[in-house]
Amino acid sequence: MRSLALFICLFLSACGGGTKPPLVATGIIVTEPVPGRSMSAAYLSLANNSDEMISISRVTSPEFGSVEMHESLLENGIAKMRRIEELTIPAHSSVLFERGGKHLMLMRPSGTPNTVSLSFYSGDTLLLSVSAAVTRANN
Amino acid sequence: MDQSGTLVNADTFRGQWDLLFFGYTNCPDICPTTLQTLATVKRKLVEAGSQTPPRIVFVSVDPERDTPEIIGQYVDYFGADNLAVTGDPAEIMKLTTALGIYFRKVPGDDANYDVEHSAAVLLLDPDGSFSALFSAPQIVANYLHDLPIIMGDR
Repeated sequence: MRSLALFICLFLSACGGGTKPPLVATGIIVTEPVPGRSMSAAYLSLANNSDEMISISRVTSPEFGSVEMHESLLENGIAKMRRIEELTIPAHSSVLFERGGKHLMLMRPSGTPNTVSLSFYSGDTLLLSVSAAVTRANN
Repeated sequence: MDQSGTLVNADTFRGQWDLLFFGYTNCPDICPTTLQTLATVKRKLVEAGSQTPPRIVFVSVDPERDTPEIIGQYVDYFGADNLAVTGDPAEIMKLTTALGIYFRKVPGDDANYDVEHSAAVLLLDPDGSFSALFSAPQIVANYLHDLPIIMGDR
């Protein structure tokens, strides 16, 4: 049993006495704006590894004038969009931003960035900063 | 009218199979995702040997903002042969009503607004008549299964 625990520790490389960051983003996809448009979307998974609920009230990016959390909804065959003012992630849970569902709407890009940085805040407290390469929206 | 300014009428939809999707270019998620899904369907049909793959037609439900130039650039990004339709809001309303497609402007922050709209894709046959409806979510595999069966009848 001890060797199994050790193996898991090595595999995750997250033990070693360090604490796991409370909020972790994985699978980040940032699509480029379609030519002529000034908006695009970002998708990712946000994991709350802490024992407390995490709430995200603001997302910013130096490459975009404005970032909003949105959710595409399908109600009786009608595609609708809802703005998420505050996203809560329960302790030890994940929230997925994916095509056709929750997404970050990135608006007013400054130039044509190849890499986009995203910062997630709870009020004025910075929770997480990540960056990802921009991918095409048509592949 | 289409992206080149040519008037769209019943003849526009004759002579080829058409997949019609209704959306708007200020939509960052559903609209590009659906157009890319349809582009993938078309590419896979061609790869499988289809001589008459359907044309992808994007009809704007936001004709006030979507000029022919804007929708032209938009659909070109997803494939060279795509058709884009916009125009006088009353004409767009006539077209969508005839096809049973709903849309409505939803006010957002400041001057911005969203448009909620039917997420279905319509298949028109080479006579321009309604042939099939693909309800959302749009899945590539559904098309690859259904389209050869439907189009093979003709």
